[in-house]
Amino acid sequence: MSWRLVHDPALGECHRAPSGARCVAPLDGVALAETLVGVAGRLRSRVGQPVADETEPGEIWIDLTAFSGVGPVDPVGQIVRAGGGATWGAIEARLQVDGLTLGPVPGWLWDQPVAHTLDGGRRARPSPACGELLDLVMAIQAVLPGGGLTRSAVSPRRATGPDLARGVVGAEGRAGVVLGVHVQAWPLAGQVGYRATRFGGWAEALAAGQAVLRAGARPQWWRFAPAPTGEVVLTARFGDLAGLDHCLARYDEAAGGRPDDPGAAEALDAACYGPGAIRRVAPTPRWVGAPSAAVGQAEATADAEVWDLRPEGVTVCGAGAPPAAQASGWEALAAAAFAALEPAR
Amino acid sequence: MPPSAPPIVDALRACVGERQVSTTPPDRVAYARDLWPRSQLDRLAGEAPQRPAAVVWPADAAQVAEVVALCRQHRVPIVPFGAGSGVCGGTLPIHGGVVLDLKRLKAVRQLRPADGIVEVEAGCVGERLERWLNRQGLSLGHFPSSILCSTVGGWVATRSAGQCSSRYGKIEDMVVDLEVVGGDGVVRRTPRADAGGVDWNAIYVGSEGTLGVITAATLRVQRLPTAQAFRGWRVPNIEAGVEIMRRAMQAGLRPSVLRLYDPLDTLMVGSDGDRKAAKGPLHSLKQGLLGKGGSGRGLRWALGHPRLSNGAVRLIPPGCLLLAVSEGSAAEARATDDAIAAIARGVQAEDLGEGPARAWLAHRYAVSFKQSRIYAAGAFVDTFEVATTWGEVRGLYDAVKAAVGRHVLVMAHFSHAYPGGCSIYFTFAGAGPTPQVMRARYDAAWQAGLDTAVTRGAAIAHHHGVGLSRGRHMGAAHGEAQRWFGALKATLDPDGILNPGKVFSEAPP
Ligand SMILES: Cc1cc2nc3c(=O)[nH]c(=O)nc-3n(C[C@H](O)[C@H](O)[C@H](O)COP(=O)(O)OP(=O)(O)OC[C@H]3O[C@@H](n4cnc5c(N)ncnc54)[C@H](O)[C@@H]3O)c2cc1C
Repeated sequence: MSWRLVHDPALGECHRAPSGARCVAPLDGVALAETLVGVAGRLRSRVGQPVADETEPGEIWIDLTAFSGVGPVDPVGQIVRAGGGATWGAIEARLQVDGLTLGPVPGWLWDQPVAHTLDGGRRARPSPACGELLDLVMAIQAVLPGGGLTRSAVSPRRATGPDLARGVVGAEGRAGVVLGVHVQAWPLAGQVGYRATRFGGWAEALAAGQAVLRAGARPQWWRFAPAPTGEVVLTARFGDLAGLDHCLARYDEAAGGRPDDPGAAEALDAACYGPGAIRRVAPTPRWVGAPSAAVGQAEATADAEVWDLRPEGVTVCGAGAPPAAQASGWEALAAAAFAALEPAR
Repeated sequence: MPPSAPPIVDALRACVGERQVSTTPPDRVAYARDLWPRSQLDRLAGEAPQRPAAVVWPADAAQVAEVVALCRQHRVPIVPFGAGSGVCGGTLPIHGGVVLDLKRLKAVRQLRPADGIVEVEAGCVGERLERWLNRQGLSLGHFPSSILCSTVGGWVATRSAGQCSSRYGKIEDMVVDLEVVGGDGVVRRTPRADAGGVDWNAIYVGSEGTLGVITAATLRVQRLPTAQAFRGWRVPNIEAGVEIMRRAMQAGLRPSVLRLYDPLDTLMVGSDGDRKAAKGPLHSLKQGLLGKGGSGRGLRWALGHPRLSNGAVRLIPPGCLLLAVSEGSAAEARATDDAIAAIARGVQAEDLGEGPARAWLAHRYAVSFKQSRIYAAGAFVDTFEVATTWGEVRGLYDAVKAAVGRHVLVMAHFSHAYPGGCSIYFTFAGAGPTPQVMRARYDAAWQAGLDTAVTRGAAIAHHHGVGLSRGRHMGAAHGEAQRWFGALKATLDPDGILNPGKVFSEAPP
């Protein structure tokens, strides 16, 4: 499918696909705001040209290449400013220069622009020690449909009404385009340690995971996956932020199970995280739900994997269809709110 | 909107029962205010607050939905009411209408320990829930100073923070899903926060009754910690104390409390922590103001001359008190305490032992906003909290103190530490010869504090919410995000009946 360069009175110079999708590449915030004033349609934040078979009619691709900058880094607050078009990999690389990190960045996220991840709103990188990637985003600046620019305090927490910045997250571009973010970082771990532990089955393994969390031993990443023997193997990486030895000792005490070769965890680390990592973390589809139901989900699924286990929620990858998240009319309410946000034309 | 709603009173009685609707003057007076100190100044100035036309006590979510539908039909404003402990005027019925007191919705609907969650109705008073959970070996981990007089719904509606938020997070970190009644009178349950798509919990949490009436919340619970470690530190100055807090949090430690008092605040609470102790600076100020004989008069004079008194504060030795509480398993509590101690020694902090932090814990709910005697004595006291990043903390503290200090005596403590920054909790006190002058000084102090926070890019509230006290600064703080709020409001409350005039609000009355 080919793209034509066209002149659109509303968008200025843009690319248009036969499907009707248009792509604009504004050079700065003002141009982006002006663009959005003039257009109606679903916005898609991307870096680069539209991919033909990913476009829908009437959609507008916002090419955020001009918003890919990363920095400056606030070394005291350990916070970095990044444009919506910056990739997580670029952010991580910049942070590492200052001895900081986002924590483990899965290979599949490395090249993904921040705005794209925020549009999707799914838990992208769960990590008991470093936090879910989206939770590291302390502030979001967005351009609303209609061109208005939002402001957001750079602050770890707030009580200033609803979290309007989070309203952009998961809206798939319908609530605006993410111009930039402030992201909180961690000190780069000087030392890492690995663990692999075998359990008789899913129930035992997931219960051990909860016990590890309760003991305060928080891995940077962990993965529960079935072994050919029918056992479930927990592999994990720990960093030395809060004391590596303490952490590993607490893990060993709380996890139980049978110790396995930690080399497996190290190999998985290299395969899944960082630039050029080849193995995609976590197969789809995903089921997200309560811990008590997760065991059944995992047992019923061949090759299920769990990368995200919290006291109140578990994501089972490879299992079933995700629950109808926006059931009971929420989807319609969201659509109505987005429509109300559109400027009157 | 009409200021009163008599035509629907009969319909309301038919819906919730004769005795669950009141239009008596005492009830209407009682529900015309919360604990916003400015209301006291209005009262002293002879201004009567707007009263609601009726107070309604529904029994369950279905009745809440019916009441909302009725009010919608008659275009009557509704103000959801938890326990009225809010300190920002959030429950003031500035447009009259109906106050909807949710305290009859108080049941714990279900506890699922294996899933780490409890579902509880919105009107449940916090301390009752916590005591009930403790009997099951669990805890919510949410301990606002007002736990004895605030509700779960109020917590969620205001984005409240407990004293142990460094470890357990704020209330928004605990919400799994919510049951809400929209302005259309429909009961809905929000999708779980981890379900993907629009995060409706983030939208309802903090909405202060403007987008929906929260009737129940599913919240994360914790097992009770098996061990606690307490430590007080005398640090050379504010910088050293903030440095300990920052380094501890950025090292991934999870103490439940890190609380640093500035020099004046340290003086007020007593640096050994176990005298006038830990009841906090508000308590000490009150004692001083109400003191018999000369002390009260002297303090009032000083409060009336804030430039002089704030100048004198600079003569106080720079040392500060830092409290640390660590908890969890015995190993974790000890490891956290040891790690903080190592950081503290690195900045020449002096170990004061367990006493100060234990004393603080023992008195941590011993706060009171019953200040009418202070106001009657010609003085006023209030607090406001802001939040920012570690790199900005000191600059924000100095700037707010300088700005606010032109109008009132001001002090602060630093608490609610996170890896990304912390909250600064300012306490201020002033005086004036007439209620009008007092109110002008009070307003000027708030205005100066919030202007400064906005200019420096800080959050204008960490946990008290917006209500009326911060409403005028919301536009400046959020820019065009205000339009997003407008779109949500138009969708979720199509007739604008839910707590009108709040959050992105009109000017204080
Ligand atoms: C002495 C004292 C100490 C305090 N300490 C703290 C503290 O440590 N941390 C902290 O966060 N706050 C503190 N506060 C402030 C206050 O307690 C909180 O804001 C609390 O969350 C309010 O709860 P409430 O049930 O009293 O709500 P209310 O005061 O009744 O209402 C507050 C706001 O929420 C809305 N609302 C209440 N219930 C609902 C509902 N079910 N659905 C929708 N909207 C609703 C109201 O309309 C109003 O806008 C303190 C207050 C006092 C007086």
